[in-house]
Amino acid sequence: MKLLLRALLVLLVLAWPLGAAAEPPSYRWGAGSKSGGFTKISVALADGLAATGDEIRLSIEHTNGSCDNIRQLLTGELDFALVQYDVAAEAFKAGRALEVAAASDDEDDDEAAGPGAGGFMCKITSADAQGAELRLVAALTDGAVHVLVRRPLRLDSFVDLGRHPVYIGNLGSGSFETAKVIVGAAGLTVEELNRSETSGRKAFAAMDEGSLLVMLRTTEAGDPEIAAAVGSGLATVNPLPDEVLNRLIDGYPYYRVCQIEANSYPGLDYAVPTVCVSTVLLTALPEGEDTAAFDHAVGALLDAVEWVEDNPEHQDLHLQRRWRDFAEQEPIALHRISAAQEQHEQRSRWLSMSAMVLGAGFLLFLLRYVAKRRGLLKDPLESNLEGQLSNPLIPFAGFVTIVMLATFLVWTLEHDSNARVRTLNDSFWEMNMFATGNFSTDSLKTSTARFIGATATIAGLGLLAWFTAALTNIFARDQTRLFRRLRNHIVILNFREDMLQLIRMLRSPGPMRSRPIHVVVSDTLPRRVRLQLARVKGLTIYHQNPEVPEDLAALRIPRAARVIVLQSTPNGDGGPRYHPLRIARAVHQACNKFGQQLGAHGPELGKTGFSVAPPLQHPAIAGDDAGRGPSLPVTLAEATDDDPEEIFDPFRRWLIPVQGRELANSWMATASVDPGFAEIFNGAVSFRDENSEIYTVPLPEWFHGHSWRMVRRTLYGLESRAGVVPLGLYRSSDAVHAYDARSMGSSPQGELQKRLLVNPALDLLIQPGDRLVAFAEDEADLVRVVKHSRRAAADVERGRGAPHKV
Amino acid sequence: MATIGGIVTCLGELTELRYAPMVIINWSPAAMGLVRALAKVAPAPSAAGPPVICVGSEPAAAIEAALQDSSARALLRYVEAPRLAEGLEALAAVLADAVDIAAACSVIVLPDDNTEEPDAASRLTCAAVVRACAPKPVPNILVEVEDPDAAYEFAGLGVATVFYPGYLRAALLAHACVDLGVFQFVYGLLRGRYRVRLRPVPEELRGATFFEVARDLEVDEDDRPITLIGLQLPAEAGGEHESAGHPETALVINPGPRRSVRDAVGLLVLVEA
Repeated sequence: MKLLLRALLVLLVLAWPLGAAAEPPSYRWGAGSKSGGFTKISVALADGLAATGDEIRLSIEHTNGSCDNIRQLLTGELDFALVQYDVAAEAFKAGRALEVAAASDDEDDDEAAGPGAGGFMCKITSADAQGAELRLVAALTDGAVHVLVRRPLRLDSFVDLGRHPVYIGNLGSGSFETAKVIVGAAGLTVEELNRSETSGRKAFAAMDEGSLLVMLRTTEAGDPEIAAAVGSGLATVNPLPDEVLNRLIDGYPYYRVCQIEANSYPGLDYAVPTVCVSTVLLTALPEGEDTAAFDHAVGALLDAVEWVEDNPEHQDLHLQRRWRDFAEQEPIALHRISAAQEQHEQRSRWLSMSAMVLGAGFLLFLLRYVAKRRGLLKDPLESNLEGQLSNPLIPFAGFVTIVMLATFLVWTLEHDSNARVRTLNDSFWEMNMFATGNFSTDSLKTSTARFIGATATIAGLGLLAWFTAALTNIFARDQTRLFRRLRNHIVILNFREDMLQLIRMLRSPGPMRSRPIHVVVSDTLPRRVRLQLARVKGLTIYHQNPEVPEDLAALRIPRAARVIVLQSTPNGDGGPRYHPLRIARAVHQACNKFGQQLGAHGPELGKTGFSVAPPLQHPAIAGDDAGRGPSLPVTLAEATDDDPEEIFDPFRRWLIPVQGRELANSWMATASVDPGFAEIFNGAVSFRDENSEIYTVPLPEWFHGHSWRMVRRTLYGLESRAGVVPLGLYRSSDAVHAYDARSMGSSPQGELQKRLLVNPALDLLIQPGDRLVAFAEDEADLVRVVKHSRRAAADVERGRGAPHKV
Repeated sequence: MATIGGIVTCLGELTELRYAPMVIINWSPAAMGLVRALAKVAPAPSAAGPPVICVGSEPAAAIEAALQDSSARALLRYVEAPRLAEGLEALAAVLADAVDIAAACSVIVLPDDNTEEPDAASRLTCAAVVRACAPKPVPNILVEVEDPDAAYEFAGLGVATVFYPGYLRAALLAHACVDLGVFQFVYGLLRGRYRVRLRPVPEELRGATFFEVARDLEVDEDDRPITLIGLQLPAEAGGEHESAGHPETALVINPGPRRSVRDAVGLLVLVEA
């Protein structure tokens, strides 16, 4: 007994180090030829396994490629193998066919189809596939079908393929099998081809010699051998014809439509449409072998794949692990370890996406908060549904959104299978066609994509109709909400009916420049007057309270050329009565607000800098800088006899009170004793054809430094459509405001009055910037006369003045 | 080139004013500003009476009370007239007897705010003025209307000028929008800073062109610069005002440099007041 125990102990001691140093399990691995791509991937993965824990080993077996690999996998001679996916899927299909046949046997006792027919790729039969359960570990690399043609031959159709010597790959390789089905999709059989049976390397040599004209190879885009052939100008890559491509995808949905990108090869400046097929890592699970050890092996292999993917030394393999979306259809199920890993990755992706969305939402909320605090956000109440409906940008944006969404969805659904939408660009233009009403069922293949296309068509047509209606509305009403000009415009506040005359005058012929008019009306303005206003070209109507600065902000008053503040209707119309002084205050505040938005040193504030009034959100406090004012346009306020002119004194730098009634009395008094005055005055102020009015134009440099007498004599002698009567000069000013406060006298008109020189002294010298005040037929006529006055001025200087027609 | 039909004032000349009362019809104390404006252009009050006669339908006692403390009281004489509802004849009689409207230098008819249609009432008032003046010539009549479209209704009533205050405001504001320099000029013209005077055509320039006259006529008698702006021309016979007793003329502003002044009645020159 003791002896037995000793013997056991010795055996245990001897066996312990052997057990501790046991080799990791080795799995049989199907690669390819010794120098082929499959073998390179296999060696890299073996390195990866060693680097990631050496948990399993690979026993790499060299084969003829995909066909050998799938066959040996099915027979259990290999544990793992690299197989082209089309071959793998066909083998899987063969296995499924057997199941269907078995089911059919059950129903129909003895009329079962025999399992011996080998019509699948690599001549796999249902019997071969019997008992093996193929599982996909992962897709690793992508191969594109290259139609390499010796120049100058060009293959636009594969019908003529049989007439040229062609190489389609080594027997038993995936490339060969793929070429077979491509040729089949073109309506030919391999037997009909003038096929060269040689190795790949020799095929390139034959092409070099000219004995081989066409090659079909399934390899990665950028293959060095193809690159050498294309780069030397010997051959070029032709596209797969669309009909071949579509037939291939329809019959063998294990490919996907793709393109060999431009510049993949030297001198290939354009993308070439073709099909792609992936190389997948496959395993077969005979019943009962789906063990934890095998799961562990799959896990180790996936770790190795990840290692190779990230390892710079193996970047040339372009390994990229994928679970799905590498073929039009992917019938082979993932191995359970791969499926678990995929699920884990999906969860992680969703989590990170949710975190990003939350982060972006929080950031937007923060931005909104800051913008609101700084007063940069508009009041949401300012926009309304009516405004949005009449804005053509809304349907246009909707149209763009629909097209973009449909583009992405259709591309996602069909880019693998539809040659017409293989890129986002293709899909975008197809969807543009659809959205503009050119729907076609031929363009798309799947029902879902067609439904999306039809939806895009209907929505696109609706949005285009909306867009057209909005534009028509704009042009019809001339309410150019989009195109309204808010620079050098005229703002009329508190418009009333009798001021339609003003609008008519502003739109009369005469002045060269027709400024955009923005009119603020009250709700009590009769509808017929509003309709009349709406018909005026370049006029925009606002229904606002002119005494509220916020309401005036949209008018961009600091950029206006003039602001006119009118009294409310004298007799009262039951509506609110706005006072010009209160409106003037609102104008001042609105300019301040605008200035605050632009920043203190913005271009609109110019020389004036900070505002007198603090922004509306912050009440005035002692110590605010009240010595500097905002940039304000020249404003004319209609005043009444009841209001002394002095009430506008705080605004005298930019506001001109116009005492309408007082001036009317003055006019009537003068006209009653001097009826000619009425006629001369009306003629002078009316912008009518065949009537001379008063205009000012800058005097050109040839008058500078000369006397008024010379200018006067020159211009009296010139004639275009009509003559010119020079009345005087209007001197320039570089003041920002209507008046220069330093030189302003007791009257707010003092500065302007000083600048106007009617009947100036004859020896007064013209200065740069001086403007001529003159009677002329219209402004354009005066400009023309002054522009062509140089010669006449020279004649006058020489004492030879005479009438000139210009 | 502009041609504006025109008439000569009650004095026969545009600029030389003589004392004559100016009559305002439908006047109320609210229109005191007009009285002051008229007083500025009229000669100083004389023994013959104040320069302005105001005719209104309000009781004289009420007007007196309203004007009691007014500094402008001396500028006007108020005449109470019957309302139009009492008939044209009654109004015409007051205008002829109490106002002696035929001797007035000018008549201003203001809109009667107490009536439903002030412009129609003004037209009837003008008819009453014509009736009160007959058979003498009608003085210059200026009517202020509330509706510019009513201007044509005053044809044939001897009305020289129809004034719509909205047009004046619109013109002023429109010019302010287009050009501040022009606005300032128009403002000065209204305020009387600049005036248009009629001058005879110098005999030595009778055969000259507008350009030659403008070149030679650079200063007035006091050596102050003046600007020739147009011509007063005789108009064709048969005009409305000619039939009312005034010789008809036409004012031409900016006639062009080659226009001869041979047939001109006078020269229109712009002067500073």
